[in-house]
Amino acid sequence: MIPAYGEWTYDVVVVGGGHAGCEAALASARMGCRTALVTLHLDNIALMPCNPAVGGIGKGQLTREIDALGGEQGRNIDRSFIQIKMLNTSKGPAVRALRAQADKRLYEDWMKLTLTRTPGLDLVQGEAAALDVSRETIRAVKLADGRRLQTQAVVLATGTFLRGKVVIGDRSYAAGRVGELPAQHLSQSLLEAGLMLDRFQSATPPRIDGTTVDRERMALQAGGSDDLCFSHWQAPVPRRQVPCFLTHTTPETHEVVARHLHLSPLKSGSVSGKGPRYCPSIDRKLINFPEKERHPVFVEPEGVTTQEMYLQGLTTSLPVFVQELIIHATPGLERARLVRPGYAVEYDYLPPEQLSLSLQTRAVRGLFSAGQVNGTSGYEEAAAQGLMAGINAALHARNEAPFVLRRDQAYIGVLIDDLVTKGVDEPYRMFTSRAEYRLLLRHDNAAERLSSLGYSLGLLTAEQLSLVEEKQRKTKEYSDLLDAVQVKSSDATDTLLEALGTAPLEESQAAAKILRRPQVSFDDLLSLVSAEDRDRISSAPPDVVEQLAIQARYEGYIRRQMAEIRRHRATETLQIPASFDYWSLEGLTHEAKDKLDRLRPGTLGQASRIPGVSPADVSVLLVHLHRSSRDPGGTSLLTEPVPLDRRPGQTWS
Amino acid sequence: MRRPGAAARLRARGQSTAVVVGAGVSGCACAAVLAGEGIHVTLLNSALDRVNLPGYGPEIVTGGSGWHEIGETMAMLPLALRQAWLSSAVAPASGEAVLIVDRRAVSIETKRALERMPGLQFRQGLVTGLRIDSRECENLQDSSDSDQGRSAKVVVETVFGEMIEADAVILAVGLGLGGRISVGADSLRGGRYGETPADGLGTALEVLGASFSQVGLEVGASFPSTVAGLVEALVETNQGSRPISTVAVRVLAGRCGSGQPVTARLLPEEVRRVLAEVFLDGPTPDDAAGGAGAEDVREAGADDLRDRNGTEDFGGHWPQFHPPAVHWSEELPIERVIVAKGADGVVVPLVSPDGRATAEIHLSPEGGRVRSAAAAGFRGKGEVSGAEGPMASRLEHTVSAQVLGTLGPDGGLTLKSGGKPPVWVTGRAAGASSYLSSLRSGALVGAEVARALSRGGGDSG
Repeated sequence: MIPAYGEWTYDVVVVGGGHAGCEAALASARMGCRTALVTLHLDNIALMPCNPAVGGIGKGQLTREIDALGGEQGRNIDRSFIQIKMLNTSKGPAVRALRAQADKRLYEDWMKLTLTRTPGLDLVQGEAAALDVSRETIRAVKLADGRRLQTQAVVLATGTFLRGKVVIGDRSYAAGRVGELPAQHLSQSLLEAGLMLDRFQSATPPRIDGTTVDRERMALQAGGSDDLCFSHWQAPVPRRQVPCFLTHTTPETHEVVARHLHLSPLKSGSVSGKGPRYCPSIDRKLINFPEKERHPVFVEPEGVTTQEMYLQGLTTSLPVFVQELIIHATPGLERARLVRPGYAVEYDYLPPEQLSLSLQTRAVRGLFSAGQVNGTSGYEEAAAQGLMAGINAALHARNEAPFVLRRDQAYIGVLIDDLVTKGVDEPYRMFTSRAEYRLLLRHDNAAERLSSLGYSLGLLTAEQLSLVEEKQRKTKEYSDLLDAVQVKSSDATDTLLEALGTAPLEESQAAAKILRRPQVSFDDLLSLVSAEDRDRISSAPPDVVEQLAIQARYEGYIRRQMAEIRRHRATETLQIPASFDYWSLEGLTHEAKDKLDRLRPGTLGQASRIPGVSPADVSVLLVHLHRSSRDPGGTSLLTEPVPLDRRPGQTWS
Repeated sequence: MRRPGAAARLRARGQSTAVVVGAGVSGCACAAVLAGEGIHVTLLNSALDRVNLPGYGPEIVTGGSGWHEIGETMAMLPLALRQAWLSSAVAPASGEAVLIVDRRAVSIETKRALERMPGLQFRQGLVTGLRIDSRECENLQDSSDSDQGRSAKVVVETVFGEMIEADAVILAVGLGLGGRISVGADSLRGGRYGETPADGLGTALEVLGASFSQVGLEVGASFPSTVAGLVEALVETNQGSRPISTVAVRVLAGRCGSGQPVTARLLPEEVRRVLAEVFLDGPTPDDAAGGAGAEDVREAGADDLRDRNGTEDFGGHWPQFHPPAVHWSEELPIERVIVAKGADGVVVPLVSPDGRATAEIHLSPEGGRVRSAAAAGFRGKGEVSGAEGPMASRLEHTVSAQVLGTLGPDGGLTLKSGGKPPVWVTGRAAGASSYLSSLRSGALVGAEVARALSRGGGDSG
């Protein structure tokens, strides 16, 4: 029992100052809600306790979407990166993505500055010890020091801090990150409110002293072009980029690991939670891929004011002396000096099938959760959820309908839909392969897809929106132009085309059609048209050229995906009444009945993605729903298809 | 799991090794001095993101001797560390002897500077154990020959089972030994809010036969910022209105009652000018230490500017990425501070920028410094003059902890038995009560350990 010790009133209280918490607090305050961000340590805001980087394939798309909606991560990494590059440039546009290496301290500084400069947002140092819940509705957050923050909505963004425990070998102590006290009380309060908790674990590799690294023995990984940046809203600022280095583990490295595997917390049982399959420790890699002779190790700077370097690929929580042996058996790192040992952290998470698509818990109205506590990994996944939870907490405080993104609209939609309908059995990480419509959900069209939504939420200005509209207008203008301009059939044209390795022209063709040929670039096209046309076309700005090239080349695929989406949407959004009686429905398997009854999907689409619900089950449901409903109904972008929050007999207010 | 290798190799080369436990204000000073003396130093901290992060507020106050004290203390530090401190600090233009540091900046700059010192290495690790190597310390009980005793080897153990052996261990654990923080209704373990305490080490010292005494510290509250733009506030005194940095309000408001003019700016040029004045033409120009410091500061100023702005490394592009005075903006949201003298000290009414809240802060300017800046509204409704007081970012809290009571004149630990293990204590753990005394203590103990090791090193070399 915490004695009352002062009371304050907020619209939204965010618990946690990591990547999810920062986005949530900023979104909520920017939407006009009085917001408090409660954190255990005000000197540790927006820390990057693992990889000092933002983006990557799948994740970079998330960051771009966050930015397109008016979130902060893109802008923040742009202000603090020391290297940026575009990945997968040799592959199709659907899998291209940005990745930036951050100066960690600068990243924290900028985020904290942004938070402190946001009107209506208070930063509060303290331990959120209990939630005050009555009649299944959140009323207040109680801090361990006795302060009570009365609120309409809470966003839980506790990362790895709920009953956190850090582990190396057979040693461990209670901590959210090394050296920081965990949140010991809140879990109990969540359980009492009717939520389930489970344990996950995650781990981070060792850091070494960069001055003890033999750079000559490793492959240099230079940064990319000067005009790259994440944010849509500020021009790229060129800077001298800092290189990373690549080396590989060797059979000797593997031998060291194998010899000491019995000391791994995975083996000794000092870690019980499940770890990430896609960001495995070096010990796990050797267990899973014994045939591989080497694994890559990226040696990455942690900032410009420090010599510390991060060893991506050598994640381990083996005892410290083994970590040193592993490092020293790796080329270029023979003399490397360990600065921070790698370690594992085990923590409580909230199995996300307890959430609705708005990231609101189904057990407690007004309680939202985001980030690692929902069973995900990665700063981008965390920030994306933070933004959405912050938006929805603000909407909830204003008594408005939730904001949900569909799977065909954004990776953010895929992420949240996956979490809520499928649950997780290991920390969830985003991949492009998780999206059905990845040709539409590209890194380059995030603003076109989402910024009008960001604007209607109040997270983007009219000016920002007009930037996007201007680009769309220009793209249309030049696209029409390419349709109109003809490439004349002539010997000169044919020679050029043949030189590019593509067929000559039978007759004159629209420039747009020629651009569809994979061998012909936009620059090639310029030499195929008349001088006059060339002048008109070549004035297109680079971002418009990019769109034209993608449109031309992938037009067929894109059209097919759009048609598929339209077809799907009818069934996808087919609503299932909240009180639907699955048990009385014949033809469903027992497992499907059980899962459907427990998870209560809002739409047929959600039902179809529940593991254990087969296509046959979906057909049975479809037939039944069509019979009983007259109108499958369309949904507006700002409206959740069916709020899962509405359990039978409950109303929204 | 014990690896005596590194230490043994170094000793074979005739180089002495030291482990400094705790990378706070005194630990960093001590490690820098030791490295400067050619000792191989390992600087341990439970989390390396908080190296030299002043834990109890941003102001460095003097014990009464003003700039002389600041100058003298800074002059005891190796140049690189001094630069890190001074390049991160501002002072009131009035010349009043107080430095207000950007806590973040001094933390980042210190780590950068110390990483570059040859022979100094950082290591992340929470120390939970301390052992004197029994083979080497048979003479431990023989207190008559302290040098002999101090040359014994000592091993620190981390929570993760690492053993680090050295010729000397310096404990700079601040208020972490048996630390207890009382904040509002809460009482939690630790010397600094939210951080893991050094409980295991306290037990190990007790077993070893160290004796302790209890100290307490009051830490004032700080307030959330809802101010857009740069951190500036207005202080209205009986001398008229003046802009000051919001963070300075806490320090300076306490002085307002005396009618002294208060002005502080965050502009680096101004800072440098003030510091240059202080060290070149200030009150201690003839002081040997201050004089030497002056040269260095001037030099340091130029170096520092180049280095901090990163023009060398980043072709002039980097500076614009540095947020302006970022680290301070969290501290106070107050747009208007009107100082009036109350019956029992100074009463500062606060008005938040949006006008939604007003509150009163009671200050007692004892000994020239603010002892308590409690957030009204938190303490009880009686003190709130508006509907709600502003929410404190960090609550006023008290820290109580054990400090090592039995210290020799050299800062060396003396056990109850009279034994003198090769263990020294510095900073708050040795009873220092301010940042300046921690700095001095760190530098002095560093020099003392270097002397002791060079004496002992001759025998074992």
